[in-house]
Amino acid sequence: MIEPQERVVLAPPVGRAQPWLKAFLLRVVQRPWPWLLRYLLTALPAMAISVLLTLPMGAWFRLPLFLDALDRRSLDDLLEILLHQPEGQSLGLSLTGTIVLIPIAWVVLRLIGLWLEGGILATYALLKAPTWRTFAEASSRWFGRFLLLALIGIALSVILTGGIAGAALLAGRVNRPLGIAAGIAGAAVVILAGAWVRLARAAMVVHEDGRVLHALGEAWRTIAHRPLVFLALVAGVLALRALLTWLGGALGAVVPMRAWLLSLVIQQPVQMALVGAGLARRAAEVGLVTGTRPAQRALDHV
Amino acid sequence: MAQASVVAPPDVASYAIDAHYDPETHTIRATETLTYTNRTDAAIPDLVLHLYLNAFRSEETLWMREAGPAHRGYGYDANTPGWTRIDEISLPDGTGLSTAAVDADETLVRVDLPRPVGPGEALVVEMAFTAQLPKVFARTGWADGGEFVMAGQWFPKAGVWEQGAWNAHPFHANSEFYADFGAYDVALTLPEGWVVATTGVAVAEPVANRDGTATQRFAAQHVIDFAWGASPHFRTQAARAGDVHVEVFHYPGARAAARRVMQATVDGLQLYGAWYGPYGGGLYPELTVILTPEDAGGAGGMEYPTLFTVGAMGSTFVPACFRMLEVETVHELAHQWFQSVIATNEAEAPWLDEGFAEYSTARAMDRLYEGAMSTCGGWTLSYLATRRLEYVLAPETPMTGTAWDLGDAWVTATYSKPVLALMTLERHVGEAAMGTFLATYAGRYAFTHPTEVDLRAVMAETLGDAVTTWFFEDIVESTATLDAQVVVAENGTGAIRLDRTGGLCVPVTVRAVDDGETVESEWPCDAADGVDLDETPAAVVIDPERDAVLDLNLANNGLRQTPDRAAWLGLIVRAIRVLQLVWGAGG
Repeated sequence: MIEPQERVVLAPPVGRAQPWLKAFLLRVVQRPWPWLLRYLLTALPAMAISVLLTLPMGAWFRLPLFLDALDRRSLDDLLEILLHQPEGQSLGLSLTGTIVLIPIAWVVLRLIGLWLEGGILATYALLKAPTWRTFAEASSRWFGRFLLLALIGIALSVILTGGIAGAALLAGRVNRPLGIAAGIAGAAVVILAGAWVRLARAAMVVHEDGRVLHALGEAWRTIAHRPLVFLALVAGVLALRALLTWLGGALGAVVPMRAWLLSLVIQQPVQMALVGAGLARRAAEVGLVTGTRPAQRALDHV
Repeated sequence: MAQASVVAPPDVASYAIDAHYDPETHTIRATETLTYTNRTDAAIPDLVLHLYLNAFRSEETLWMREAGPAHRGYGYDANTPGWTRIDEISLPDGTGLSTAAVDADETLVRVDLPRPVGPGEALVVEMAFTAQLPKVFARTGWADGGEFVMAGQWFPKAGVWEQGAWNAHPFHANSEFYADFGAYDVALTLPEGWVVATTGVAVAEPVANRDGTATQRFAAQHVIDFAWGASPHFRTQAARAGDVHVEVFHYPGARAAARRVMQATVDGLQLYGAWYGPYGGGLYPELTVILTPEDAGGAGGMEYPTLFTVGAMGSTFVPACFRMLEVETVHELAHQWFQSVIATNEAEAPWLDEGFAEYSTARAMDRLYEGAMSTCGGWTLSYLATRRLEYVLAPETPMTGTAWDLGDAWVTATYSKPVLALMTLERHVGEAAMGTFLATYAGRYAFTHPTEVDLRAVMAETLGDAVTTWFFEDIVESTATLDAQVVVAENGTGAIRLDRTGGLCVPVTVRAVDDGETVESEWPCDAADGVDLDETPAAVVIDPERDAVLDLNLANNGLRQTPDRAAWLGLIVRAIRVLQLVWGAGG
């Protein structure tokens, strides 16, 4: 249980969210453990599975054609290798086994990530950085609720995506540009719906209230109260992640395959920055919900 | 390099057609005057006409039985069949003529004449016919609820009289063209407001009729066929490529795709003009391209004289990194030379048509896009590789044979093996020599009907007898294959042998690398038991430049003594990033 005296309640005036959000955003840097945890959560398994994935390919690294394929990023050569797997390789089974591991690991990591979520949000919500014990307690306390929220989010996404895709197709039959516009607008709606469900997690932690529908309502009120900040947050984080992903890809493309250390040195900071962007979103969500509550009360009294 | 001057061919089969298209019933009602001039030394006793739309009148026709009935993944709708019927046929003096089906499907009919047509004489036949277009299938028909139409193989067309007989085959699934050159004067009547794209050029503005239709006249000279497409939704883009006016017709949503098609067309005209002589021998002023709408992909990817269609794989949502539109464009454009002008018999020697078009496509993709059909995701896939994939899966086929006798091997024999064979030949003799051979062949046989014998003669003349014999006897007419291999001896010594399986030998080099030193030598591929290397280099590769693209397995062409550990670690690092991105995608 989180100690009640550790809770912080800031009451910024309506319309002055940005300087106040900054305080929450700074906590991402000031309290770096979630950052490290989230980074290692994917980095370590990725390293292990990458090694497993390439082990069965050992003999390929003796084939000049395979080395050419990697150097020149040539699907021609890669197709050739796949079509004529070198004799004596039990590649199929090993590769299949490893490839099966990837989605299994994804599910496990998602669940671990969801478990960490409670601790991470509590880290940014509390006045002082939590102890490990507090972090673990918060993680365990919110895990079940967050799992339920995640399932609601998935169901909502599926329903919205299906409905919007159908509507866009119908609109496209009447007028193609209208269909495209409907599709784009629909995609935005799906993204925003996902952000709304995620905001409900922050609402649960900040308000220490595990009722799912109540949390969704709180999140909705937060969005309604500061729609521009919310939209800027969603769009900003998306843009930042897109930029960082592109940057990682672009840098990776110019570094030769054999320069593995240089690749590592370039890629991993970008990956850490990507994790940081995700955590900044969480801190901002906590700030948004924390900042909205008293303001909402003030409005209620009017 | 290419010969520029081409003599205009004498007209053999010329047509004047007045056609009315009804978009409600998808029917063409027309009158046709065929003028057939006998330019041979023998009298011609009768006339044979193609009525190829009859191949689509049911699922039981020869064409349908051979095809599936499906074409390029598009199914046939038996509720919307296609057919052609000659309603009346007579001589200009009113003498009625009788017709008789040549084949069970009536894709060929014989017209009995009151007297033979003597050498140098012209036969004029007048007829009225009705053509029912199917819902778009196998390149022809209507789509978009009737608001798009592509008319190919739509009118009664004469066969080719040669060697004392009519050379005309029933419509088979894998062949379409063999026809004489002639002039076309075609009047098309469609609903007013429809935009029409045709073979040849418009010779007058549309004239509005009282019934809400409009009539427009088109003319084409020195062509072997006439096709047209129309839609009220067509937009156009125009450009000039030298003396040629290029026009692309497209739907409003395909503007970006049309720009890509136009660019590839203009670039391709320049390339092919330099290689094979000017477009249409300098006799065609205009080239028309139709980018088919989304639900008419079955009409896309088809060549006609001075007109071709693109869009077999869609026309609206085609990412820029995936150059299927460009591939389709440069392929169909190549047919403006190989078939439309160098008018080989597609039924009897299909590789002379599709094979040379494919080879031209691969060359054009090389020059225009560095060979890459796709660069999506930062990885390149060449067009040649996709053809290699087809070939290596079923390589044991000659390239010769009729379209129907080749059966399941038709794609490999007609497309894949010829492009790989011609590319192997080019890399063996060099670009300059290959250029001379191609330009000589294309210039000498423009507006004629060359055969494999003619091609072989030009090759012997320009590339020499030895190369020609090797190319024709070991590759074109043979089922022999090649697999060059670097093999490690099984006795545990690590000794390396250069070996080969398959009966085909292609002279290439061997590259050995040791202590940073590279040594190249000729590969004695005809050595019966392979070649054992005296020393074991750090790495050895047969055919390092990959000149022999007919080689079935390029993966076993080279070997290093030890794995490249830096590359291995590099791949691990890349895999780590990909997994991090995938697993962290949700933030």
